Parts: sequence; structure tokens; C-alpha cells
Amino acid sequence: MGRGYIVQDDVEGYLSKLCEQKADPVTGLLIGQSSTQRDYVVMAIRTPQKEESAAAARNSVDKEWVTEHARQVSRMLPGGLSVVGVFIITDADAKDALTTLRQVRVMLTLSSSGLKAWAHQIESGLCLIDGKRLPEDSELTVGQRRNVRQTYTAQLLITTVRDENKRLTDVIQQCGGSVSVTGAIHSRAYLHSNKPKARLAEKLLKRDVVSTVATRVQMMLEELLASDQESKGKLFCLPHRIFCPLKVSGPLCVCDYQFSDEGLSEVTERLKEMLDIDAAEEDLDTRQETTFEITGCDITPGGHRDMHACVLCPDCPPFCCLGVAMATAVALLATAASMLYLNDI
Amino acid sequence: DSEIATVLRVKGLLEFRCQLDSTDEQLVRNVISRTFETLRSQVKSESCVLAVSDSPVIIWPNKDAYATPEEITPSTLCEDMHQWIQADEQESSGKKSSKKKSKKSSMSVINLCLMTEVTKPGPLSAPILTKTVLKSHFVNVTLPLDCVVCTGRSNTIKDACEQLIEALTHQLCEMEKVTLQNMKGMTLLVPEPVHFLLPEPKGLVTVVYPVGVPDSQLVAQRKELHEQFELPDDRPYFRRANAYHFPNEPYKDGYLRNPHLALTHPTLDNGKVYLVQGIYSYHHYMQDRVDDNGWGCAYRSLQTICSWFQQQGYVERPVPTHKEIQQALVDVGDKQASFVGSRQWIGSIEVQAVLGHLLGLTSKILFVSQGAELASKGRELANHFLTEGTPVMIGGGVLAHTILGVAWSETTGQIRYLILDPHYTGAEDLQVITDKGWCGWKGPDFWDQTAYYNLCLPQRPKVI
Repeated sequence: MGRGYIVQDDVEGYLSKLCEQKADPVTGLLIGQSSTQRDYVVMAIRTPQKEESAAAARNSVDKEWVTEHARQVSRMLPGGLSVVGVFIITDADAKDALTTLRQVRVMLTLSSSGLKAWAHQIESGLCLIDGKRLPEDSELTVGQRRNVRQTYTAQLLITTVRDENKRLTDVIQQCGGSVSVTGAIHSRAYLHSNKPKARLAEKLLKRDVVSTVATRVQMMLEELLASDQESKGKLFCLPHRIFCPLKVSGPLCVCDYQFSDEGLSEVTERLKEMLDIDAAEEDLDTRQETTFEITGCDITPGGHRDMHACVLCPDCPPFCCLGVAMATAVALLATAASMLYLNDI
Repeated sequence: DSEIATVLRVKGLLEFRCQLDSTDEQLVRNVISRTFETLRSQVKSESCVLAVSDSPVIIWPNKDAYATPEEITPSTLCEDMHQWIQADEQESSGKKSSKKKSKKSSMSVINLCLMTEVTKPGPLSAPILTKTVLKSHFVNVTLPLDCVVCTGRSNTIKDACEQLIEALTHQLCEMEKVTLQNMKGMTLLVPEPVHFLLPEPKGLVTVVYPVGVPDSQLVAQRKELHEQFELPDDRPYFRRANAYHFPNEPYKDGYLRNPHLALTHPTLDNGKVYLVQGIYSYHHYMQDRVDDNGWGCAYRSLQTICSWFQQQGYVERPVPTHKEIQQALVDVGDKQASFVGSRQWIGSIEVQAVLGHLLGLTSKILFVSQGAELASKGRELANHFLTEGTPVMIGGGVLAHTILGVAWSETTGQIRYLILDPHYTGAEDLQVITDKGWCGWKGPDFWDQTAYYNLCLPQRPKVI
């Protein structure tokens, strides 16, 4: 009783090369998309070397490190792509290898609780594909020939969802400050090309919207905690999303987040270390999101929160892809959702 | 020949959020007004979207009424929208009688949901995180927007969009007014819209009330409304219980409302029909898991009467149970304590006593020594329905019934009685109830000609 895997050719090539390496065991992650019948694997990534690894450790599997690698890699995958498995290449007994694998658990949780209400709004929202509201069970590629490049533009419509738990007395609360997130993000999801349903596209896209915001907020908060900045009314630019194609001619992209004080070389370094991808700076797609420019918006406490400071960019060519149906969208965060109450200082 | 109007009803929740860093009243009011202004801009923006319920239709009212699917254009007629909407499911409160259609033209309601589009073609600027450290108050209210707009035959989607957006902005202004009026220090009340159906030609009117404030504290507002709409000042139109019940909304309690409306009324020579005014629920044997078959008929008639007073807004108390009715009679000294929990009958006098004690109402008693005399009571009953319009309980012989109206001819003396029979033991099936005459018109021979009867005629309090 096994599951079917459909694996891209280059994955096979990659794994074969790893077999030739002297190190034993070699572990790594399998990246792709799961469906009810089978898994599609588009990429394999070897576990990067841990800096402080001693000679002895090289011969055993560092399960926590594999898990941590998986967690970081998940942040770099757009909608539809996820860690679907773990591989191990070893001369040792197969049974031992399997046992080791099973002990690696990969978990992704949405930890930022302030965003939960907003995430719920997104998840309950209405999704339009190419301007139409499709019945959930309908297939996206109906009427199209197979293996034709397909790009779909998605729109998201949301409503406020009534919170039954909120009491009437909770209307005004005292707080020591606020944190809010505003701006726009580019969201994207990939679908396998075997009769994908509209329902799946909607689910993957919404998941990507929520996860790209959560990831960036998390990264920013980690940064703030690390640098221990104490200041009133400060603006922090969240890192913006950069895409990098897996293959020069392919549609699939992975992504990374670039902070405003980083250069593109740091991005390519991370892509190599985490995803084992050799990318040149010119391969990177940096046009989907632009840096925020403070155009003198009035940010008085108690004042407006919407800041539609849109920086217009020169024309971008339409995005297209091969072989795999894809949905693209840009989500606007004008009605910020994250409110954290800081203690009185 | 009245037009069947299409009513568009848009509902949606808008988040009202602001931070108050000062408790100075004027500053607070400024911030609140500014926040309402932001919400008004939101409603007038291109990201405002109206989704037609139970249909794939979505309209952008501020983008020249652009809509999807593409068959819908700005010049599509509003009434043509019905073909896109999935047929309504049957009301949970009973099956509709397909044979008998009310002659009166009814409203058809199209429901819309107010949504926000959060996507735009890219690229746009990346997100930023703003942090403030400031002792303040955070205000977070979910405003329940609910507007109705009446459209005529020739109105297009584009016309409707203009009307809807105007109604939404107007409602936000009303909400701002009510919020500021009811602000006390750092407490805010949530404004909520309520719809009322006023007598023609005024039609549907929406009033914004503060949540949690009882009707008794809103008398001044109601007085103003009565003046504004030139309504009589002795009967309520704007209590919360008077709120209009839209035709496609089921009643949660499961009771049938006004089953008599499904009937065709008799035509008598020079005769007129005089009916109960307003809304009542049909209460009868075996409901509420109480097996009162054979003894509870007067109790059920009394419950029907109580339901009328509750739904017209005169009382807030829910319809009393058999036990509560019996306890009330013990409390006024009419019955012994052992009466509670028994299966003893009650009559018109007891009904009058309970209406007085539990609901604070007065009732007139009409006595006839023989059933045959009831045929001569046409004028009195007609007058009752004209001035009071309340359901009448009649008890005599061994039975109790509810009279909902009379058809009476002054010249010929012919008379018919509209009877609601509490002896029915079946389910809330309007078809069965009307077909089998459990709610129906009866002739004078319906009454036991030799038995004596007492009628309880509840009087309407003269209040607003």
C-alpha cells in the first residue's frame, strides 16, 4: 500500500547526484503538492550543513535541524507548494532509515494571534477567478487543451464576520499602544495540471495570502526583538517578496523576503543555502512588490489607518507559466488587522 | 392596480475602529466623526462590492455598476435579477398554500451583501508595520448596516446602485448622530437599524436605534417620528416589536403568522369585511409539547391574543404558558393554588383577568344568552375590529374559539365570522389549516343556538 508520486525529471537527476556524494546519510526535503490520490514532487532539497556540525554528527541524522530546515523552507514556498516529504540516502539498513524519517515531524502553525481575525476574514472571503464566481466543484481547465500555459487572475472579496463572543461592553478598551500592518502583498499559488478544481485554487491562494503576511510579520517581530528598539510611532518596512524561477524556462517559482537594508546578493545566498538553487541576481523577479515610500502620510494616533500610498511602476509583462495551472493575485491590506496591546510603559 | 415593487435590501457589517488618546469630549467626538467619514468614503470607493445573495451576481456600484457575470449590464432591469437567484426554500413556518394566492400585490425582495474587494492589479507598495506606544482607548465596534431601497419597474441596476450607495451613506450619517447622542464619557452604544412598514403611501422606513436601550426610554424619539410621518399618536408604529418582517425571512419560533391572509373573504350584499389588524401567531392544541387536547382551547385562544399584543409592541412579555396562565389566576385570587398544573377549563372572565394581571390590559365582556343572538352582534363586532382590531376570545357551551373578523351587511343583516380554531392538533401546515377550515369563515349556525356565550374583547392601550 503506497501512494503514487509523480516526480519531475530533474528531481531524479538531483537525487542521483546526491547519491554520488561521500557523506552518509544524506537527508533532505521533497517539495511539491499533495492531492487525494497522489503527490506531485517538483523539487528536492538536501539538508544544508549546520555550521557547528562535528565530525561525529555527520554520520547521524540531526532531526531537529531537518525540521528547522523544513520550517524555513516553508516560508520560501508560494501557495500550492509545500514540504510533502523527507528523503534519506544511506547505505545503512532501510528499516533504520525509515524509523529515522518517521521521527521528523514538520509542523507549520500560524503563531501570530493578532492576525487570526484577519486570517479568518480572508478564509471566509469570496474568490473570483478571472472575474467570475465559479461553482466550487467546477474545474479550472474546462474547455482548454492540456499542456497549455494558464494564468488566472484572482480577486478576493471579504466581509466582516460577526464575532459572537464579543460582548457589547467590549466596545471600548484601554490599551498601551498599537501595532498595525498596512500595505499590499503579492500572492500566488500553483496548481497541478490534472483537472484542478476551482475550490482548490481558492483554498491555496487564500492560504498563501495569510501565510505571506504572517511570515513577514513574524520575521519583523523577530528582528525587532533582536535589535531591541524602543521608539514611539515608528514605521517599519516589512520585507518584500522576491520570486525566483526553479528552472530558467519553467513557470514554478520559489520566493524569498528581502529586508530594505539587504542587497540582492543576500537573497541569492539564502536561495543557495536553503533551497540549493544557483540563481543569478538577474534571474530574480523583484517587480511584484515595491518598497514603500513615505509620502508624508499623516499618522496621528487616533487618526486614519488607511495608507494607500501606491508607488506606480513601469509596465510589467503579464506573467505566464507552462504545464501547471496558476493563479495570481495581489492582496491589499488597507484595513489592517493586527492589534497588539503593549503593557503600560 | 398596484405595481409589484422590487425591494433591494443590502446588509453588511462594517468595522468601526479608532484610537482615542485623549478623553476630552470634543476631541473624542471629532475622532468619532472622522472615523464615520472614513467609513462613508469606503462605501463610496471602488473597492465597495455588492454580492447578490443566492446568486453568482456581483456588482461594483462605484465602478459604473460593472457586474459579473457578463450578461448583467448597468442597464439590466432590477426585476430581471430574479432569474439569477436560486428559488427560495419553503419557509420553515409552514408550507405555502399554492391554490390560494393573496390578491394584494406583495413585495419581492432581493437581498444583497456588502463586501470589500481587497485585491487590485499590481504592483503596489509593500506592507509596513506601525507601532505606537501611547496610553489610549481603542474603540472597536461592528456596525450592522441594513438598508432597503424600493425600485420601480423601469429601474436599472445603475439606478439601483446609486440609490443603494446613497442609502448606505445616509445610514452611516444616522448612525453617527445616534452614536454621538448616546455617548456618555467613555461608553458608546452600538447603533442598529430597524425597518418599519408604515401605511401607504409611506411604505418602508428605516430608523436607527441604540442597541440595549429599551422602548420605554425612546418615547421622545418615537414622538418625533410620529410627527414626521403624520401618524396617529395613540397607537405604536415604531416600537422594536413593530419591526417589519420581510417575506423571505422565516420566523424562528415556528408558529404560523396570520393564516387568515391565505383565505378568500366572503362577499355579502352591501356587506363589508372587518378584520383583526396587525400580526398574531396561531396557537392551538398540542403545541409546545403540552398535551392539552380536550381542555386547553381557551388557553390557546388567550395565547393567540397575547401574541398579538406582543407583536404589535404593546408588551415585551413573551406568550405565557398554561402554567403561567394558571398561576396568574391564583395570584389574583380567582383560583385556589391547586389549580396550577390541573387540566381545568377557563372561560372569558378568566381570560379577561389574565390579560389584566399579566399584560396590564383592559377587556370588555359581551354576553349573549343564546347562540342565536350572535347573529345580531354584527355592528358591535364590526366596530370592535375597526377601532381596536384585536382578536376576540369567545367561550360558550363546551368550546372556546378565537374570532378574527366579521363580514357583515348593515342592510341585509347577513353575517359571517372569521374563526381561528384552537382545537387543531396537527402540524403548522398552512394548506391543511385553511383547507380543512381550522382557520375559516363560518356562518351563524356555527354556534350552538341555545347555549350562552361570553366574548372577551381586549382593548388596545392608547400609547405610542
